[in-house]
Amino acid sequence: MGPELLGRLVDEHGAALVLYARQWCMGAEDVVQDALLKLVTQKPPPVSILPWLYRVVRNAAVSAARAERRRRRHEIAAAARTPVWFAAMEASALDVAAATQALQTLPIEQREIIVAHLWGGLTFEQIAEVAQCSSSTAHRWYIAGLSALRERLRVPCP
Amino acid sequence: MSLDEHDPGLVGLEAALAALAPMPGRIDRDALLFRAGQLSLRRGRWAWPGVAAALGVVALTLGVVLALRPTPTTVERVVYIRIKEPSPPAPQVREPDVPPPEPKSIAPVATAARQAPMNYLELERQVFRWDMDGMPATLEALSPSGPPLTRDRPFSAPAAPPTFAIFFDLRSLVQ
Repeated sequence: MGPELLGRLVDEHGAALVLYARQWCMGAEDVVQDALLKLVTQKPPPVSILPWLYRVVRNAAVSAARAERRRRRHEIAAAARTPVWFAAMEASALDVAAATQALQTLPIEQREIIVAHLWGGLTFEQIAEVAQCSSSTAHRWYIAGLSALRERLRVPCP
Repeated sequence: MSLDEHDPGLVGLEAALAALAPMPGRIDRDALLFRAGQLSLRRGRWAWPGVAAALGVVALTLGVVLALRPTPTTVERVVYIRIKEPSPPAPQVREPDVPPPEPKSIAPVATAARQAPMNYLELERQVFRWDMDGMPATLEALSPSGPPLTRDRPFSAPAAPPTFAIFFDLRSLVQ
């Protein structure tokens, strides 16, 4: 893998991957960086790079979350400085902080699928492969998560 | 699977959420590319340490073998060598007509002289060993021109057979 492709992956998918890793752990940047470095050392490189990256980020983030739970003192301190997940945008119809908080309250299964689909651009088939579930289950959780977000963000029905 | 099939009202929320841009995070792009370059060069880093470790094991094994090797023991053997006893000297026959016997040492020299011409080194060795007293017959026999001319024999006559040859012929007859 050349540096051009790696740089393009960082530019185009780095933020979404960090957001995806934040669903489980606090050190999301480290997890994504390790996943990208792991991608560089893959011989041969994976056929579908993006789903492979999401799967590696997911596994590493879950492991990191376990380690964070073991260090309870650090977890409490980190919870106090929860980063904002989205950049502030004036034209956005949603409040960034409210959207972040609403997302954080969703179950991890729904959150994971919403982030992978909306910001990661993965199809439900790819999400099913990453999350190790069927694509219909992934779609069902996606709908359920969006419905819960609509209630929490108080978005009026059309 | 389209979202519109289940709840068309969620499409607006989905679009609003998708419009949010994730925070870029703190991924240092340059540092990441630098580490990727480092990793690409570290693939064969175990080759030379592996070779060194293998050679170390070989050297250690040879050292242990050398240290535990039994010391070589000296084996003493008695070897008996049979030496042929020399044949007893032939009895000497004293006769008035027969010239005095030559020393025993002449025998090998004379025999050799009868069989093949004696070279200089062998002649010198014989002279040093038996002195000149033991050599006249031999020298006479080896002389190519025969006995020197004297007053009694002023002319060159056919050379008489050497004395030692007669002696040995006689001795062989006696035996």
